[in-house]
Amino acid sequence: MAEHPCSFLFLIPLIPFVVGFANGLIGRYLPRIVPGASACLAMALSLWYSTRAVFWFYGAPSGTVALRQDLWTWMSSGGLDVSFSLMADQLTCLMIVMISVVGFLIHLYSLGYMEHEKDQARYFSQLNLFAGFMFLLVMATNFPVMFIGWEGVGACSYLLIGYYFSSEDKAQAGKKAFLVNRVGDASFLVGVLVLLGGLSSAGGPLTLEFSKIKARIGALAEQRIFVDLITPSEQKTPGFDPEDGGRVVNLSPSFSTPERDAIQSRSSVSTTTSVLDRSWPPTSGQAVSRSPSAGVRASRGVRSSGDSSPNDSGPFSASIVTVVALLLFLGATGKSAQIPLYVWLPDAMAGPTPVSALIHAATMVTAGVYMVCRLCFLFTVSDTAMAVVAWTGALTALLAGIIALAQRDIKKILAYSTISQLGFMFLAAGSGAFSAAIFHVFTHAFFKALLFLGAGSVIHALHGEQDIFNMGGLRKKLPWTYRTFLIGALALCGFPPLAGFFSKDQILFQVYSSPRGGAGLYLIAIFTAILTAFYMFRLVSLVFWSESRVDRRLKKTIHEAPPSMLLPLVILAAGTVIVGFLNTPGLLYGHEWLSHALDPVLGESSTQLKRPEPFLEFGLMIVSILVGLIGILTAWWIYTSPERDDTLAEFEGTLAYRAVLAKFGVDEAYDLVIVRPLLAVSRFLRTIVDETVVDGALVNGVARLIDRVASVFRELQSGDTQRYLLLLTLGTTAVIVYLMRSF
Amino acid sequence: MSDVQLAHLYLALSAILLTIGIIGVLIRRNLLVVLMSLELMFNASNLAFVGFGRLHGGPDASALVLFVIVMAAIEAAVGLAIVVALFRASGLAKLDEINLLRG
Repeated sequence: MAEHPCSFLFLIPLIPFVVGFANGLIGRYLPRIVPGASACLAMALSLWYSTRAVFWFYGAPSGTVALRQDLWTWMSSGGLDVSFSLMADQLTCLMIVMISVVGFLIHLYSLGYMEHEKDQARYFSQLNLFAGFMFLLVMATNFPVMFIGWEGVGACSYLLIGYYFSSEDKAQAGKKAFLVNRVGDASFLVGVLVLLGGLSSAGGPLTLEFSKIKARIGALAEQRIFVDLITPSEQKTPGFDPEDGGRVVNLSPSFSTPERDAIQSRSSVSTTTSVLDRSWPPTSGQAVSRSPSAGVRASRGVRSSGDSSPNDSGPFSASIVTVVALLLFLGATGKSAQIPLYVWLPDAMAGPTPVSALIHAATMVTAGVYMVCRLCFLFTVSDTAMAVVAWTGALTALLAGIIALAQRDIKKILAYSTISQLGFMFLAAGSGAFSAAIFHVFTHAFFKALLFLGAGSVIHALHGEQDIFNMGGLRKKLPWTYRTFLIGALALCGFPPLAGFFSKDQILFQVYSSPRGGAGLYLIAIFTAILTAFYMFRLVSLVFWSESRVDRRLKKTIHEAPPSMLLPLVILAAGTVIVGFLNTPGLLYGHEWLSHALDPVLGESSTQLKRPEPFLEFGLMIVSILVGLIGILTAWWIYTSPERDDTLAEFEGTLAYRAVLAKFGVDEAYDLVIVRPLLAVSRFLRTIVDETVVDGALVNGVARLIDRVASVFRELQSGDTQRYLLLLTLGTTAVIVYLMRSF
Repeated sequence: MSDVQLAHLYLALSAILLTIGIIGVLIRRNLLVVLMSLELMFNASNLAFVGFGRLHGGPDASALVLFVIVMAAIEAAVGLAIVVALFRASGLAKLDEINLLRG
């Protein structure tokens, strides 16, 4: 366990920050080309340093768990020291490379896409700031630094959604995204504070560093393994050592030697047996004798060993971890657009299309998944939290998949598809398949960015038309856009051998075989996969394949995108083909390189997954390919031939279709349940509490009272010198008389 | 007439002058008259000093009188300057009309 210093890590977030701020301040006074070009250059430099960090990391002495750079001490309060530090381990390396590659390509694409915009400096400045915050988020070594990134990307997302702020509904969309995210952010912050409170009441050094929290929570994870290992009657008590934060395990003498060896080897405690005999808390001798009063019951232990034998893990118990994990996950649902906080993402499509690609598909929305995976050691301790994560992911995937079926706006379809795919990622994470989740984050970043940029190219060619029923037949007019978009769509449907196939298949397989997954979750996932294939190829059919329904006047002006837009498309398409092979399953003669590489970060959790059974794995693979094909062919059959238009029109009258088209009225329900009551309360507070009570009775009331009293005394201040003098004389006389009274 | 009786006469005259001065300051409107009344009060105090000096002997009282005369001269100079400035600025020389500080 060693962290290798690395002196250039800070440059990765800093360069986009500096360029972004510079463009924001003076960009508009510079020649038109400068902001865009400098922004691209900044991303290129970040990409260069990210790549260098990866090589440094793999060139570091063996035993290195992460590259690390401590910049300064940020907060030092009581026992808590928070340093402003950056790190790069396997997971972070993957993320920074992904962010810088996709980010750079989208910056490049923006050069072409935003060509005609007046306010380029503002756009590129915000895009760069976003990238800087995203780097900070994934490179943070502790919660507070991660929180800066977490908030920063939210703020930049708000700014960029509202880029066209002169249009009311786009500004509203930005506001909605920001406010919905705030709910999640608040939950995230509360989660961190509860965690800190839990650590504080458990004793020992306070910390918000991921690695140190991991070491302390590791004991709880060990406990789970112990509970699985030993019989319920032989209960033991793991706990924490207050001095060194290390793990102290109580073993009852009834353990046989093989069991003890097994426990020792799995817990990787390098201490001697004498340490194992100590107990914590030191006074709670009854903990060993299994008294129910000895501390908080760990839900984990109760589940595994029956209610008769409570499991004492000191005040820092698994139940606190569950609360923390659920709060953090609610934060993740905000950023990653899951139920119940997904409503902002479809509206976020109001921003420029490259923004949708970068922020609302490829990077920022994956922050929640990243956070859950980064904290996998925390989530795996709590079965409840894992189940919530998995089911939320599955239901979100299903719901968003259904809603996407009926949408007409090309970007909205992709937005719901993003929500659905994020649901897949959480489903994987909740099933314990963290590496599969991260793999899907990675592949999804490529093909979803590709799809969005392709959609952007279509919109660009049609001068802002976004309704897919006003498109059609673009295959011939936009050949390169069509080819790359098709690759992206096939990847999203999980068509082999594209990237989406490997990642999605891995998720489906893991969900089916993981002890935390199961048939129910698998069925939801596979059904969602059919929906995915269907809505994607509904889109492809209507946009590229079917008869043209484009407005006659527009038809002549349709043009293929400029090279700066096509080049990213082609590169991303190539990436979509290639990146899947990073994690080829063993069944297909691959080595699951990515899963193995991520193992040191996520491994402890992933090892709980079952080993693949070749026959089962192959069968599931065939199933997922088949469902993809079914969806694709159905969509093609329905939407390419005009003679089925009548049937479609008939179908569109049904209640089910209208419910889906109306997105099940979730926005309206939120409006009714949350927004309106909130506005009513606010109005009450404004008119009654503030204007009447505070302003009326208190502020103006006090002033009025003083005015009344003063009007009496004001008469004294006549301004008449002689009256003053008279009073002075009388007063002096009175004093003299008083002093002379004794004579 | 004994020294004590003489001193009493001085003091009585002084008290009368002081009272006239005070009443003058309090009831007259004309600023110049008010200033003159002030001078009268200075002189009343001078007279009291002289009377006590006569009674007790020694140079202290006479010295104080000289100081008071100087003070009176200064007061007259400053007071008149203010009156002139005030008149030039506002055209007012009546004390009851000057009430800018009225609350």
